[in-house]
Amino acid sequence: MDPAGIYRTTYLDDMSIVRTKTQWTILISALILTVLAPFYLSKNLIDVMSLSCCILISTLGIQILTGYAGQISVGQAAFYGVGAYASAILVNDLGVPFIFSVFLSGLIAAAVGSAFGIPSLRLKGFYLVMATLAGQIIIIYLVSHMHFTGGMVGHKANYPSIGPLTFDTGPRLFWLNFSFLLLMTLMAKNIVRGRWGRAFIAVRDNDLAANVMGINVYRTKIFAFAVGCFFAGIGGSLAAHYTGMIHPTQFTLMDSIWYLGYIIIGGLSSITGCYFGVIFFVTIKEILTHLPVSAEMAQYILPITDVAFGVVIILILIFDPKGLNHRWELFKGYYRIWPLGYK
Amino acid sequence: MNVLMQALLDGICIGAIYGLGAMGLVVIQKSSGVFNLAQGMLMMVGGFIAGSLSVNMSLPMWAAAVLCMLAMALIGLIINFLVMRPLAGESPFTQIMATVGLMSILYGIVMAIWGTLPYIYPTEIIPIENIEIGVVLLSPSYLNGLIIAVVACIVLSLYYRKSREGTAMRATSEDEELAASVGIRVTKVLQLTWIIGSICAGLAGILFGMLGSVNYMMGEIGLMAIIPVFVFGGLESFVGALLAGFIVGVVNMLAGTYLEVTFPGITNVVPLVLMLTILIFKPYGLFGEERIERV
Repeated sequence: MDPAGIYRTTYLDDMSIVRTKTQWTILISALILTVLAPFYLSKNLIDVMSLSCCILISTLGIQILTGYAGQISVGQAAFYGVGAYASAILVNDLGVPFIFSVFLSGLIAAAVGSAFGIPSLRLKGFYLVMATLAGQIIIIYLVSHMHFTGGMVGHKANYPSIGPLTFDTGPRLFWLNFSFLLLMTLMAKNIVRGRWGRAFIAVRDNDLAANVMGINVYRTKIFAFAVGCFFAGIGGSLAAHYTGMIHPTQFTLMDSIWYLGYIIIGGLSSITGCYFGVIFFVTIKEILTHLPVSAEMAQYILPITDVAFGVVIILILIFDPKGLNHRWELFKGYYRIWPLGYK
Repeated sequence: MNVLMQALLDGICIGAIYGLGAMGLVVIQKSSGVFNLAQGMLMMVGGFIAGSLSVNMSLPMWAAAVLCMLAMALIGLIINFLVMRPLAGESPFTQIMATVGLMSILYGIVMAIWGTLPYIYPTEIIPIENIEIGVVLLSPSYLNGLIIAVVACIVLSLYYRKSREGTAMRATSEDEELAASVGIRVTKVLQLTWIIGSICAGLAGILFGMLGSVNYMMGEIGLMAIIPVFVFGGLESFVGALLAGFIVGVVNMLAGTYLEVTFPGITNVVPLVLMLTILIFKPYGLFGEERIERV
């Protein structure tokens, strides 16, 4: 849905992410506002936003895997953990520069993920759910019992530094995480609108037809899974250096479940949807955890968050399976012709 | 040698309980093709309900178990009515996602009502004394698990083969539209499967809780215990689930006996590694129909 008067004459034009001058204006002003956020928002909010950036990167990964390629994974938190541990060990123990370790830990997460995914991805049906469930438990078991991961004590992760720059304050970490988020979003967007993205959608919708079209279904599924884990690894690596201390209990099965919830609520098969899902739930969680309630009620807050989360997932699945992103698209279509809408 | 025998026998008993939990998954998988991720949480809910009834209200264990089964049937009914029925006819993908939501809701409810304190309750439904076979000792909680799970397996298999509803369920699992066109009420069948699945989960939860205690971790641990059984048993067979349960239980106990000392906590991990291996070499499990397609 484009406003009137926009004509596209080339394929390249038609595939562009940012299409109109208004979009450019909104995008640039939003970027400036976000980058300047540390100057006008409280420190706590910036902390939440920094961590949300890491979660969002990981959510982009599961969006590609589950939303686009249709493979359900319930191990995203574990692969996020693999990235976190890999990066912490690479930087702190082996002295690899941060900028290399981020991408290396992404690759390591992708490799570990593929090891769990390959057997089940050969099969039709939802075997990946079971394999990733197993992966979740096995990975967390390994990191909490291995010597070099620090076991149940956890592992330290230094503040990230690139060359002479050290990111050791809240705002600096936020800028680092946010720039990685932008980079990964661009990457995700490019993957899903290119050849691989179309292959993912074809495999999701009808793997037999995709096969007839000349797509190697097995390879496509594995690539989707590796990409999903790569994103998780990058997010995890940033999160590790952001929090400074990582521990096996940060990567639980329920966290993996939350990732699935983010994309359902935001809208499956949409990169923007990830943003909506994560922002929606982080906001709800922050509001619930900062409610001024008595100590007696406080113990019910976390369970209530879980219940609310599940209820929202089910309501969205039943009543509005396209998620928040679809609502956003409808709203855009509405304001473009406002006030001259027709019935 | 004694240790080995003890591990084998205990493994068979524990495996029967896993098998019972997996049968709940099998029922639902058979008729709607949905892998119920919330099964572990349902087990935990069952365990906690029985725990409250027997500890807080000091009912005898068998009464608590019966009441718990009734409550689980009600929960299954509610789940079907509120969640699964509106989604009937949607793709399995959507329905699996709904069980993800269900998992979170049940977890939240359990944490809100029962919190993180464990429940320890009487170790027997059917009163049995310790049985000694030579030097091997079988405790009542293990024997209870074995007996109840085997009985449940026989009852379920017969129910599926012989009864009218069972036939309807088998027809629905083959082809929903065809079943509907010969006059089977598919929604009723789906409702029944969710009730049976929940009851299986509840019963397995009680028996699982008898081995140690019921606590808030059981949702995850229970799910991890029954998934290898489910895959090994071939997803769609009750007898398969039970026999796979025996195998997984024995593997579990052997790991617990011989590896636990050097690698603490490995007991729950070994069956999962086994499952990944099975997925490579024999993906349709022991008793599954070989209609799995590779891509």
